[in-house]
Amino acid sequence: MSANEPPEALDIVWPRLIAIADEMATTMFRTAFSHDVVEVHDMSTGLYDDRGCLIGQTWLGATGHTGVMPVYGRNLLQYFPPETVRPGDVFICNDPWICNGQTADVFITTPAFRGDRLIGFSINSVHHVDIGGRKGSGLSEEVYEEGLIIPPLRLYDDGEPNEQLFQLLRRNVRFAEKMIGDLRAQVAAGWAGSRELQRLAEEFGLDSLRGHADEIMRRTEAGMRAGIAALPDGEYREEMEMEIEGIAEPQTLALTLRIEGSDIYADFTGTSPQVRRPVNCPINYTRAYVALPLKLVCDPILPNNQGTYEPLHLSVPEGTLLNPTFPAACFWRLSAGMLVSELMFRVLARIAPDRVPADSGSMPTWQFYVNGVRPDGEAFALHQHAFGGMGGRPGDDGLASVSFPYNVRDVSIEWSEMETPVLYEARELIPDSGGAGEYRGGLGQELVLKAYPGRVGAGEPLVLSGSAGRMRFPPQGLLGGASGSFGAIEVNGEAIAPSSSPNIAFRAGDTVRLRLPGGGGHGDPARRSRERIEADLRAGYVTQEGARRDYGYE
Amino acid sequence: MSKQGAAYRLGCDVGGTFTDFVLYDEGSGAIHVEKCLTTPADPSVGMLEGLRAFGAVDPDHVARTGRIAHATTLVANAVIERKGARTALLTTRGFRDVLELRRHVRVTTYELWADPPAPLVPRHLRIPIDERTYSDGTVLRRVSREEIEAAIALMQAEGVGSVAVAFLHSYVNPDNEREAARLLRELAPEIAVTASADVLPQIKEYERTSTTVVNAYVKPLVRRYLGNLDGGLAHAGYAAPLRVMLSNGGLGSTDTAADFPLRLIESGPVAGAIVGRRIAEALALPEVLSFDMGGTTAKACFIRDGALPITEELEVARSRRFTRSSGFPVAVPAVNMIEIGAGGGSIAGINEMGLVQVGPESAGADPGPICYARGGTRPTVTDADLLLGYLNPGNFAGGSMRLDEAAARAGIEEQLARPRGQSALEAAWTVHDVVNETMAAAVRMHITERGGNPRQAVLVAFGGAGPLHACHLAAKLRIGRVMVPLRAGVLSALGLLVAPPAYDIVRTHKVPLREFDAASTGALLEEMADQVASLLGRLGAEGDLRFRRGVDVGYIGQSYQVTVPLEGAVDREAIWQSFAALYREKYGYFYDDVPAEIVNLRVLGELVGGELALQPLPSGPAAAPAGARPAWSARERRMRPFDVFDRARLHPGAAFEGPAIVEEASATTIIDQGATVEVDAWGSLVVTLDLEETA
Repeated sequence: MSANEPPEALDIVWPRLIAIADEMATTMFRTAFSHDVVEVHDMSTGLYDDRGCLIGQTWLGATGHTGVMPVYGRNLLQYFPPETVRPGDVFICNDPWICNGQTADVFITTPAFRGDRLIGFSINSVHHVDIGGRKGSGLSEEVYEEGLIIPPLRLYDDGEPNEQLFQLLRRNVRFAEKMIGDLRAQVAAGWAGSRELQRLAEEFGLDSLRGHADEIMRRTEAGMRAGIAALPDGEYREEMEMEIEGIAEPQTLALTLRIEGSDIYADFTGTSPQVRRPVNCPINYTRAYVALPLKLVCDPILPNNQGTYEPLHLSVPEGTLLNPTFPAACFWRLSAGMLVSELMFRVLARIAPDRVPADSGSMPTWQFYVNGVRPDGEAFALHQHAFGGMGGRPGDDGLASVSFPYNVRDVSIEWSEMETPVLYEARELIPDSGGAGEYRGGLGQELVLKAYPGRVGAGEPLVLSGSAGRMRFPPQGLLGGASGSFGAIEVNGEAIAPSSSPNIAFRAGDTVRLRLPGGGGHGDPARRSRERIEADLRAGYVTQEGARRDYGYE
Repeated sequence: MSKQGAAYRLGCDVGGTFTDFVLYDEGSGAIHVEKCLTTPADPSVGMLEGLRAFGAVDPDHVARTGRIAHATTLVANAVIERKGARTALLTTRGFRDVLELRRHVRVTTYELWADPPAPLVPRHLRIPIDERTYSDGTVLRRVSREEIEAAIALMQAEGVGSVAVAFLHSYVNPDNEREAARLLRELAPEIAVTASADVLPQIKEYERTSTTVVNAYVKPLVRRYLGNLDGGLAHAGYAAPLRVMLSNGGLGSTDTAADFPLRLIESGPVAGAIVGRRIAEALALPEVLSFDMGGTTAKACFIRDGALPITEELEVARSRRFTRSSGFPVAVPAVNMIEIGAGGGSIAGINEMGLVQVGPESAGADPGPICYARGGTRPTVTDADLLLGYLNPGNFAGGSMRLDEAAARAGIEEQLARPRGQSALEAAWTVHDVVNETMAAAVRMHITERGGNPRQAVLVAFGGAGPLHACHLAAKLRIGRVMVPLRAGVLSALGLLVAPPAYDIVRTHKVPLREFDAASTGALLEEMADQVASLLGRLGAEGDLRFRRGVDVGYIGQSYQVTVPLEGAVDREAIWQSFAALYREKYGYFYDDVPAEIVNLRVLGELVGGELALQPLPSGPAAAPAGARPAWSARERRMRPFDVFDRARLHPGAAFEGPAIVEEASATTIIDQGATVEVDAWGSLVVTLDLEETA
């Protein structure tokens, strides 16, 4: 094979790698137990070569997992050198500093062999319904409180399940049958991926995937580099503040972004130190949300793999919110982690204002649990996601209440009322919540929750805990657009203190109201067309009063 | 009806561009096919006009036609083109935006401007009603007459023609919805009403609301269309009642179609799968992959034990073609088919990855492939197939059209081969191989979802391009046997004539298996069966009514279920045992320590009897090639001579070996070296592949 001749049948092999990853994801959707996999799609699947380089990943699944998968493969090989890996091995790990920054995300790795030669791995990750600890408390101070930490271990050794490890897991988690069920689904998907990888190698007579892997990564990297090179060289600095419960002063996230040719250097010097709250964001997750906006703006078309990340150079001081050291609490790391994406968008907006939305109320996602007990003492847990509005975009309004840039689904209200005694009084868009602009920010949404009378135990309160944000610093507008609405949480009409990891106890009779922020507006509101204003009024996205105040419309 | 009795069955498939007609003579087994242009403004006009062509076959056919079956893309197109009624939606107060919030998911992960289609009901016509039912069926707040009156006033002022009513938890207790619908019908009879519990009595508010809204949106239009058609057919003298093909592969009455027009969403595409099922049934094949490849798309359907697979995850009007979550969910039972943008007219180019990509963009029939010489300038699958020697430039479409091979070669050379440093032939093979790979990837996923085993399956190929790609596709899927029926190119319309009248209802009834109560479940099933019987009763007495009952069972907390058929008395232990067997078969394992639950109840009613018989053909002389020409051998990776056979001269019992090409007016079959072919009693080619060496 000459230097510029592509490896055998790349036209077939590359799409096949992605198709196998999609097939793994489908296998998982069909067999997993928890809503987080089946309904929410909080997972990912990928295929790797024998060096741990990600070469094919599913288009389905959540962006956090997407960004971490490329790092994870290489991390794993430090613990299990290739010469020690045998057919029939299955590896497990959830260490937030090796995996996805949170104990609930568990990674399963299965090697693939051709004959006795290691050719690659299939890896999948899933957000688990429970991993023990304080049920995702918003008050955790150390990672030890956040459940079991599983270092890289063999879950199966030479084809045999590691029963002692299974016993340990089963004894340490709530809803053990669901957790183990999801784990089994992960193992089954892993086997399916490795089997298909082996078949692929046999079909094309490949003893190694490296030739194909190198070409796939080279082309992907070139695509990213072309996108970056099209941006002007320069250095840009942005800061933003986040509110953390129990700490009076807002904490700072700071980014200096330098573009040099086709390389990007992201430096987070100036970011506040780590805190004793679960909003610290381990570096893998930080990297994922630095890379994501870059991909959205520079190269949205090429598939995600190791090559995507080559032009990115990350520098985050240790001991900060965005690169905390063990044993920092990090269960709700997305509260800080998704703001990293917002910082990136703000910088990119200065460089390429024609391609980037204003601030989005959907960063961070408000992901939360409601834990409680039924009258008979049996525990229940609702896991739900809520979303603010996307920022106004050059040329169009932001999308209302949408999973952006994360891309997961909610849990149906009917399903969650069927499974838990949490009663929803509303899930509806909030009028006037989108920042005014030539292109309006997408509306935020309101969720109103109660306990269904008589269906919860009288003794213990229900506890809502999760990620949140923008309660003190709303999503900003861009190019003259106005800010979106503040995020807010009210219990019986009273607002709680701004928080990035709320932890709220409530009882039957209480009403909890979550008000998700709207997106920032894009462009001067005075330039908004009359047709758009009138359409908004008619739909009730904007009230008469709002139209008068924000657009001078009578 | 004439004294000779009903002698014909008539099928009519109204597509986007063409309307296809099939007339089947029950006496002789002869099949007559006609085609005319569709008249989009009112498709019934073109259809009634086109039917006159059969006057040449038999001037008396009008009176002697005993069955008329009709398929139409009208419903899907009306949603895609937004030509439905001005529609309103009554929702539970607090949940006005269910339709707009979708599931909060975006269309693609990495694009900022990939938006979903705007909801069919704009927000000012989504009217909150102060009512509420809880998940156990308790009514927390009732519907008030005053509120419905106010909603009607608003709808009338806005000129609304149709309204959907979708309240929370109506699948458990439909009282509030029924009351609202009753008041609407009483107070505003001019507005068509659709209640969600009637359309889709199932959990998950977004999917149910979306489905109900789609139904409401097309209801007035479909009612008008079917009225015109019925009237027109009667006027032309047809006495046979009109039947309409539903998405579930059964025929329904026009009344059913008018009440539940969303059941027609897949009316057109299912016909091919029905032919596949009929073949599976007739030949007792346990696993069949029906594969229908035409000019623009390929469709495939994995049929097991003679049953069409059913999905409830259909979407219509996708903003991004072939992309999940980009359209409106229509969650009623429909035949689970995969549809991919891969056909003879699919355009090949080099994508952002530097790889050859084929489809979903298509040159269609106009301008068509380069070799049609009708102005097409971009290379297509057909151009590649021509270069590879698979098509005969002088004998395409029965010799009615000459293909320009030099132009096809120049196009592939310039746009694909040269930029990639390949020869034109290598590039052509890459195009052929890539389109097969694209289809194989989708089919693999489809078979995986159903837990099938490709090695046991028979691939049945039809459509204009199906037989040409079938063997190479089968090899990729490790399917060892391929069957190409006679008239494969035009066969799918026959599906209309072999489909049985059928209707099914799926209803959520969520109960842990340990709390299962046979009496109450039985009563619900009975109620559903009555409903199905009354809908099928509209068809009049036509065969025996047979029911298939089933329950969807899953582990508690798991969101996917397997359908357990119920035979005889409803019994908890029997359900658990069947669940165990089915689950193990599908996933390879089973947990007997995890509690299970019933989620849905299913009742399918079918009118059986009167199946169309396949006619065996007389045998004839042994196979002899009519000639030979060079074509690309996938196995040898070079051009080599292939024997060429004329399909008309292949009789039952004939046998030969690849490499071979079989030419028929409507389709060409390619058989590589190493494969063997036999012609069965019905004239089908049965190809056995030599998989061990190709794998």
